[in-house]
Amino acid sequence: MGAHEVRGVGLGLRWPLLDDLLESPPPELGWLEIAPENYMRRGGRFADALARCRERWPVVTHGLCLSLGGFDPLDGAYLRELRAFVESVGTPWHSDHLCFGAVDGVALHDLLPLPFHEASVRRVVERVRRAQDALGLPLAVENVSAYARMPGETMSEPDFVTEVVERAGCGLLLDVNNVFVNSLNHGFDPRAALARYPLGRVVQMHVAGHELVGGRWVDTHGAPVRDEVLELLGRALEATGPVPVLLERDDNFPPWAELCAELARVAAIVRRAGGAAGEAQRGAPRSPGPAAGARAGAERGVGA
Amino acid sequence: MSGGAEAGADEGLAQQRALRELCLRAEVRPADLEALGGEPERWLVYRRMVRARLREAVGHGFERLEARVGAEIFGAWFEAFLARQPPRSPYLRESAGEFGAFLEGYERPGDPHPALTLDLARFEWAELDCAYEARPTPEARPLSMEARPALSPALRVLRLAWAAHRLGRDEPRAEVAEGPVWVCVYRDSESFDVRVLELTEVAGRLLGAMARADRPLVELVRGAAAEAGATLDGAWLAALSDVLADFSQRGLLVGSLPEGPAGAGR
Repeated sequence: MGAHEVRGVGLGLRWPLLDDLLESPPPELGWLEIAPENYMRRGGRFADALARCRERWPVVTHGLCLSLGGFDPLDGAYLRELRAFVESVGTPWHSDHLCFGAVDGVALHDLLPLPFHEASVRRVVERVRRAQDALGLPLAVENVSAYARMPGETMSEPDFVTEVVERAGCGLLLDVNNVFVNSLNHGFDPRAALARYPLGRVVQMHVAGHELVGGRWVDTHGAPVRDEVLELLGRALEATGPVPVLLERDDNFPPWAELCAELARVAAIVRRAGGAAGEAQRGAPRSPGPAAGARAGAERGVGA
Repeated sequence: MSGGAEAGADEGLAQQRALRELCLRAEVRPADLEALGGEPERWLVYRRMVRARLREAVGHGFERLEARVGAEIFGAWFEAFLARQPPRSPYLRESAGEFGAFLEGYERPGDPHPALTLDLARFEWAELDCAYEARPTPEARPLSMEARPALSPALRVLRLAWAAHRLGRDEPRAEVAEGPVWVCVYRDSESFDVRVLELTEVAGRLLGAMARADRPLVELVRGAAAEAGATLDGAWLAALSDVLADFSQRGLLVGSLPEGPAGAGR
């Protein structure tokens, strides 16, 4: 499966969805996203299910464990395994999060927030370049939901993300729900913030549901996507043109028909954006850019 | 890098360590919250999420053990795991295996039956480990007693002091018979279901030796028989034939390895 086939709306492949997905595939579904860590070092039923899905849909990988904002050295063994895996599934790009997830070798298995300042940008840029080089394919980074802010910040999240993706030469996986959740938890206008992200770098978007947990809005992926998020998605797509959009649902799964209806709603927004974007953009999905070119630029850009 | 940037890096690392401690320590330390600044309640969201995710992964790996010892004792062991030997694998599901390894060397306060606890933990992890096994079944040629055997990698042979494998998911607190007992946990190659096969001592020793594949099958047979104190008479050899046929039928024994260095098949 090639990059040109990843278009329209996708769905995160989760085990409880598998049977319905294979028996009653939604007509709008264009591709699947998987967390590679859920399939790496895992054979049997899991490998078989992935193989059956790959026969029908292109698969894009979205990882959890690069810890791009961490201080530990990048995990070479993990990167080698990840490279072999992403090559085996033929993903056109790989994405991971702008966060840290491990400290001193201890894996915390969560998306923990980074401070938005220059030193943080430099560290993340260097690590994105190294990861992209090690993986041998384009990398995109995702903005995360953050429930707290690290002290000492000197820039906004959109500025931080812009600096990272521009200097690293990587793509942006714009999680529209995360922008919205952060606007609720930190009190800003999501539309204004959205416009300040580097939308020209967007290669893929996410939408998901969020819930109020313990007094904070949490990106649970366990509820329907709210209308406000879909509205924000439409705005983002107007600016970016048609890029693949993923519906994330990881918990509290609704009946299959409900999830299909939600996917159809997202698909309609994507189609409208495709129409608005015109023929020039249609049929030309973006890629984070050739990995080799990005790496060459990155080498020259170190310390600049 | 400038001195200012280095200081920033030190500070950033200190913040990340503070958040790690906030998430993993049994008690919330004010110093960690102070290092992170801002509103404590916001940081406690991460503490709840990190601990809940790891607790779920570990609990999933040891459902029967948790049901047998009780959630309170199991939870205390989980706390000790986080504090003393926290997970290091980037794969969340492997945190269950890391917890199992931790239990082996941990004093396990409140453990009602230490020997059974370890057997049950080993058995439950063997089930998951077989389900996850990713190595392909080796290429094999027809079975020969003069060559090293080729086995499915999705099997584990256990010698249990207590028959922990007989504990059902619906009655994990049932009485357990004392062993020793040999079991093979394996993944069915067609259905991918994980199955359990109770073995005689000599069959268990033989299958364990075959899984190591470091010698020709004939030597492994002699060694297993000697360890079990069995006599290699006609009846025994007939039984061996039945055992090997059963292993083959279940997809455990797939033939013989092509010639190569000893141990290369695993």
